[in-house]
Amino acid sequence: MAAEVRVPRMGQSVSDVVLVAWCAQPGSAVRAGDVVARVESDKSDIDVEAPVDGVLGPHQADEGDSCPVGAVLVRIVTAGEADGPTAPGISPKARRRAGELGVDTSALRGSGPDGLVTVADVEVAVATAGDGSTWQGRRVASRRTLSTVERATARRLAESWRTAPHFVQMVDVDLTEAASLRQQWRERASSLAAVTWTDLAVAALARALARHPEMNAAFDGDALVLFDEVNVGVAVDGVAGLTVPVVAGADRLSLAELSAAIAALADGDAGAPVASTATVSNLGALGIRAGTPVLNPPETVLLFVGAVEDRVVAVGGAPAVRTMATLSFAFDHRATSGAAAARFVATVRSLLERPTRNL
Amino acid sequence: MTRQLKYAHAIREALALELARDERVMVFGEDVGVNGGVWGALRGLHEEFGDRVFDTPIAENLIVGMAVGMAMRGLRPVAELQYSDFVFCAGDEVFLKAATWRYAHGGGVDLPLVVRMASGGSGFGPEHSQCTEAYLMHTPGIRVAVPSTPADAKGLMTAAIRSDDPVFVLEHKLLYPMTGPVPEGEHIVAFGQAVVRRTGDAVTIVAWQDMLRRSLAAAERLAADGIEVEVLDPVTLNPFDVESLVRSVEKTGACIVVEEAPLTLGVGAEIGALLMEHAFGHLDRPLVRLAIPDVPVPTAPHLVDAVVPSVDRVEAAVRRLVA
Repeated sequence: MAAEVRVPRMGQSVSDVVLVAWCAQPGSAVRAGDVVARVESDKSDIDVEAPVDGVLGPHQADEGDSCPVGAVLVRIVTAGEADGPTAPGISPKARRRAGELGVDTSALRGSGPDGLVTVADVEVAVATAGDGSTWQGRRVASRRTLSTVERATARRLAESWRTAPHFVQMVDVDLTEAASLRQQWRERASSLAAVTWTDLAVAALARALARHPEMNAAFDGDALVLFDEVNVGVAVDGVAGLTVPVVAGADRLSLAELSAAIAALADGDAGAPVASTATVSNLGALGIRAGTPVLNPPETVLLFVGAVEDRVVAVGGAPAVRTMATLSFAFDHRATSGAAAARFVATVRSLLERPTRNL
Repeated sequence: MTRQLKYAHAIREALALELARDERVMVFGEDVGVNGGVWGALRGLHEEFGDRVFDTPIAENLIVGMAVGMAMRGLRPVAELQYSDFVFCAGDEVFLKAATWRYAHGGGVDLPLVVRMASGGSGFGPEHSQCTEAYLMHTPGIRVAVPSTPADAKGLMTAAIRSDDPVFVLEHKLLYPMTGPVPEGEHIVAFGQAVVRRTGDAVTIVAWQDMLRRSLAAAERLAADGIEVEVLDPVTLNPFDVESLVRSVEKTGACIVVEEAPLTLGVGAEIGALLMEHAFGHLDRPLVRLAIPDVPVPTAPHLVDAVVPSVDRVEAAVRRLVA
């Protein structure tokens, strides 16, 4: 049978290497000890040698590919093998089809017996080679036209990123009390049993905005426009893309009312036909701890809620397990300062950490 | 009307109908007359048709030689060789006379003779188990029919008797007791028209007689895993239906020949060559020949199992090829 040239073991911690260069081409004769390929790990470079005399089969990886240790790089057909099983190659049907489709067969990997390139390999190569065009020097697989929502989102976020000097503050909040409250609400089947972390975050943000009116505002060239109502947008990742339906007058709603309104948004309700004055985005359910969010223009603040999780924290000099989350706030530095922002963040934090009194 | 008949009885029916239809038809061989043939296929024919169904000495060269002579003089003889291995005993008459004399006599005579031979069914040992179709197929001037069903046994026998060429009909021993639907009355199966016994797109299996049965059983198993195998029965090996073979392989891109005979220069080798010539650009897999290794056919059952292509081996070959 053919001898296999495999990626050599290059140390305990190395699991993958990069194939730097082929030193022998398919079909060429090699002698045992000849270098057939050069690979590198993050620690070292190694020349991979032919273990036997023979003729090189098709390359099983391309230069620049990442290959796991032990993977077959190439097979060497040995001399006594001529009357043995079929050597790897390309089937006549595959060759003919490749000609029809204009596919370069030299780079194909065979899936047939003994690595034979079959017509299926050619057709897969065509299907995955894209539409044949290139875009900025890259081969194109396909081009998907963006939806109206996606286009609007892209335009607004790019504008936001370009025009508003962002800064992000992150704070850890202790949600142990809130968690226990939610537990009680559920156990008692209270009207608050369905309150989510997003609901609590929106409630805290809305109440903090009511206390810090200059955060419920927008930079407008030579003025800061303070808004008369607190309308909180809630980022929803839906089928149409990213949308931000709005809860109007969020600071005036009870937690139960707020929760019901947000639940309706999640069910597809378009929200109040008003513009938001601040936005909440919650990716905590996906395990994200913190982020550097982009403002929803022309707002001054956006709250990104991270994963709510049990963490070991120091309480009174001793380790304790507390329910914690990290909140990340993006601010528009044209509209506010770091210190003002920090005071606002502290308010949100204290609202969430003492929910019984504040929410 | 169609009814279920055994393969052996379908042959008998074809002979009886032709004996009744054409008084030039003569049926003979060792124990063919009074005894009704060692395989029981001819029982009652002697009683019904008298001396037109008769016994011969145990002398195969005589049997075929007599057929050649009778055919030259205007009769339509149907000779039987008890085992297809005995074609070698009659070698001079088969390969030199029957095969060449129409040519040698400048086309001045027809040779409308039929030689029936019980074939295959390994287990009867090296001198009584062979499938000799490759030797016959190698010989220009004679036709070779390999009926795999009772209906084909009747239809090919009828066509053989009515043909003006020397025709060798290989009757597979393990198929004699098999039943299947057989049309009543005159039934003719045309030579040179292969039949797709099962349609599929993964690979074309070419097989006949007992190997066809095994291939169909393997195909049934493979279908459970979504591998649809096309099974082609050539029906006659000379003439060979190249067109049907090529049509099938154009679809599947792969071919496995399963035969109950030694590998080297077997029918599978010829089919491989035909595919090279007629379907090269459509081959997507190497040809696979499943055959008996180049050894004499053994007698002991476990040795027979070790060399004759089995359902398992056909299944494994397909899986390896299309994996």
